[in-house]
Amino acid sequence: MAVIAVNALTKRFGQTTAVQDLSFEVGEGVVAGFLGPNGAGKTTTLRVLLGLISAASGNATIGGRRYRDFAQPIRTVGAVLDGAAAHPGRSGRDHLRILARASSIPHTRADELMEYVGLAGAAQRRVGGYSLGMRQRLSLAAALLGNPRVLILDEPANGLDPQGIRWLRDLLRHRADNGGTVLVSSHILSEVDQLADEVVLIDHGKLIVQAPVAELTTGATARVRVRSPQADQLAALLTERQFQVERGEPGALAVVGQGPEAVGEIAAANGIVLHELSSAAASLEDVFFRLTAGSEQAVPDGTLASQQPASAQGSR
Amino acid sequence: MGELVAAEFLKLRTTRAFWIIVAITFVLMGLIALGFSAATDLESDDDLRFSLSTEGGGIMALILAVVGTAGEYRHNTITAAFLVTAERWRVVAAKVLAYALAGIALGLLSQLLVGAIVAIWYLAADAPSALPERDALELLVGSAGYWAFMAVLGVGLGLLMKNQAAAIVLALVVLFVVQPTIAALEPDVAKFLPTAVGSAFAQTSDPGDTELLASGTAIAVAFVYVALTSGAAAYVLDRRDVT
Repeated sequence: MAVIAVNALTKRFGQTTAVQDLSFEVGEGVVAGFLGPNGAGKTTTLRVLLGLISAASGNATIGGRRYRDFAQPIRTVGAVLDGAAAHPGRSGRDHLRILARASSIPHTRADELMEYVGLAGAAQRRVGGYSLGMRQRLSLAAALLGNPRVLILDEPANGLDPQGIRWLRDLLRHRADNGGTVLVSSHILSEVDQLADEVVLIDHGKLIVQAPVAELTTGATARVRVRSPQADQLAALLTERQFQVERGEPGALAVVGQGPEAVGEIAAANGIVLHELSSAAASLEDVFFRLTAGSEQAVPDGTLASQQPASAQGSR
Repeated sequence: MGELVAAEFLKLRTTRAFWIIVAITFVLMGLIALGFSAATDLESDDDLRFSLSTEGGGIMALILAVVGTAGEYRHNTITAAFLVTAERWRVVAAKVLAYALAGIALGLLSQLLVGAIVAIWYLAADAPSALPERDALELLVGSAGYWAFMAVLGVGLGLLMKNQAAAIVLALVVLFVVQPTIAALEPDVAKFLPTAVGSAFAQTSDPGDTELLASGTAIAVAFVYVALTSGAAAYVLDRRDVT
């Protein structure tokens, strides 16, 4: 049964269509990675789900209800949103106590969570003095305040150190394994690859694919990595045989869609020395770039910009 | 609603801005009390009433509310507020109630402070310092009502404007430029303007003052102002995207 359901959702900001006729569902006990290039409409979709942005048409529900129909939503849904800040002059503990008080949650829960997210030592410090990672941990504590069954997280690993990322991964996995539902957007594809059960990939506000991670990566094309002092000669030979060859750094090649046996045999038959011959299974990153290849994206001012690496542009 | 109002109080007292504004208010009220007392002859009831006035500081209740409510947008804490309380009109209602109560407290404390300073001044000058016609309770109630009124207007303004500085500048322009201009051009309308309405119920023992509305009417008009500003804030917030 779908816990999170987005149905024919469309949202426009002026002339820019951020989300267009988007539909997907996430079921119980599932961690779903929500992926897409910057400007694809991820944050807009999450904010519609959380009742912060109104849809032009369609709807987004959690457990069959709109977020704004919940009297005390944080008891059902926990959220981490980029830009959902705490007052910089307030202590982390007071930030949580305010949220707890507004939902009739005992203030002792705030202290428990400060401990749980590793901020007990900084509980009395002003949030303005927190590092990015500490602020992110505070956001996660706020999301967990009502012990919700559903977590909706926008880039929750931002600013976390490797230990923090592992902690977050374990936390989300544990909650899903206990019947919770997690929808998490992240630009760290390797993390999603390790964590998510399934992926919802969108671009230009439209659904590209929703599928289990294993299914996506199994169906994707593997590569063979080759390093050789005679890389140019080998590339020419492989190209003659209609192999798809990609050039990397000097002396390195990637051969797409072939096994290492075929490449190795051609090299041996032509007396070409190899320093490396290894196969690499397709990763979620490969799938992501293949499915969003050539993408152009809407940026907030409504103009179109060519697809850039994820770190190069702000998200909408 | 009680838990939301309690959360608003917790928000207030856990920021430095609140305590700074409270401190400035009391310093300002002390200076106003000293200045007004020094400016009078300490002879008539009107002199005493003038010395005891706290209306000049009511703007501080409005500023407190604007800083607190528009500050939710400045620091982006409005997102967390709406995640916790998805029915936005309840957030507006909680803020109106919390700031009205804060305004009452600030008004009462300011009136007590001013009363103490004026009493000491009059005693030192050996002037008659009884409160004819108006007892101390009336003075306190009127002052508390005036400050609460100003605070609630500030809630609506802060939530609608979002920008703290712009909201405060607009409030000052309305109070000190627009209102006097309207009063000069249309004297009949002057008594319906916000500060005149507030003054009318702050001076409850002086219903004969022809420039002000009767206190009962003034309270009714004040509720209309509150309903309009708070209602507008609730309406706009309910439809405003939080991006």
